Amino acid sequence: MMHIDRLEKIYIYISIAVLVIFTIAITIAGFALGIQVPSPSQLIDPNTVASTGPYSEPGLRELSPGNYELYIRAEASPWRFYPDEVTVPLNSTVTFHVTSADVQHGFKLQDTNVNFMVLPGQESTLTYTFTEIGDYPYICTEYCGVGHQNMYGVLTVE
Amino acid sequence: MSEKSSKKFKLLYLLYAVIAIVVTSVVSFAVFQPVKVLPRISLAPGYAFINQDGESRTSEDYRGKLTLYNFSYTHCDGECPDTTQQMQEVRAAVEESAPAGIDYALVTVTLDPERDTPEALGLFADPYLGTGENTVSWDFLTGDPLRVRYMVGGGFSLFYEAVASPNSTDDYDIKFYPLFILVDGWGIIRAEYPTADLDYDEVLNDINYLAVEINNSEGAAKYAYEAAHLFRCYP
Repeated sequence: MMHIDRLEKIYIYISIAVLVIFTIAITIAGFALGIQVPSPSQLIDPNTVASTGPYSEPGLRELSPGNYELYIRAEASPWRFYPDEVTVPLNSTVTFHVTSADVQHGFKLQDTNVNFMVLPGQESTLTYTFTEIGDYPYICTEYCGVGHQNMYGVLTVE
Repeated sequence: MSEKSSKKFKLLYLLYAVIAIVVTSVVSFAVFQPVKVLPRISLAPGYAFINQDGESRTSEDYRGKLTLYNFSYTHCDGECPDTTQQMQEVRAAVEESAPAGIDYALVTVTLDPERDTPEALGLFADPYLGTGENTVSWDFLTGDPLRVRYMVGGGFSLFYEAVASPNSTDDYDIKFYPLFILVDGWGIIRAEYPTADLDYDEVLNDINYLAVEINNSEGAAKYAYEAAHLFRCYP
């Protein structure tokens, strides 16, 4: 067998180990931790979101004391989020529901971990508790078209 | 090559083979999904309310039963999405063709506990309940308005609010989006149907998935179903 330098051999083994570890990590992340597109229970008809159901009246609603739901609809005609101004009281828990009526958008709430793709036909959901007063701007993070720069809003915690 | 290093190589290949088999079987289970389960969406809320006969009902009474919830109120008419009629159809469908050996229950929760006393709910429920013998129990629940708000809004994430009625000034309507929720015997929400027009076949289909899972919830088969949850093998 060909002689391989000891140090080189170590690097070869490390490279193989890295490949194996990443393959396992991707498998676990994709299937076990569920880092993937929303599940079938979150499918929604993009043709009717603007006319029926909770997305037809987007906005903040108090489910129970201190517990809110916030429905946001992203649209490309004109390019904007509905609503683009939201005010929530301090220490409230907000469940974000965001969907698109047309093309692929993004949703990123500054200074929080609320950040996801917004796909037509699917509902992106995340819950966040606001413990600090301030303005949290939200922007579209996917380049969705010519009016992309107009897609922003602000959530105020007071 | 010395005998010692050749042995070492054989061991190494064996290790690679084992890793390859494990990774392949895990990936193929996740991709081909031989076992399918309904997602565990979230925990259903706990509550203690009163039914149409004035009897106490708590979430514990529905442990071990597949329970379908809907939400309505007795003054619900006209534009209001009253889905109680569909609960009656579900009951007939379940009694006729759902898997035997499993307990089923229906629960209708009022969104207007201020006006819906147990007596009012009793009058509302009578035509739906009928007089025949039924194997599927059906309770109409009411309780303290704040508790109902915590259960329906906080627990089931259904928003509802009182709005002025268009017909008269001192009357009000409850505005809400129609919703059915299927809760399993462990108290976990397994399916949500946000619709005014329930697809009974879909519900029966979901009940069948749950029945298969319940019948395989002991012994070795349990682990295959837990793996299906882990890998999100949803229908």
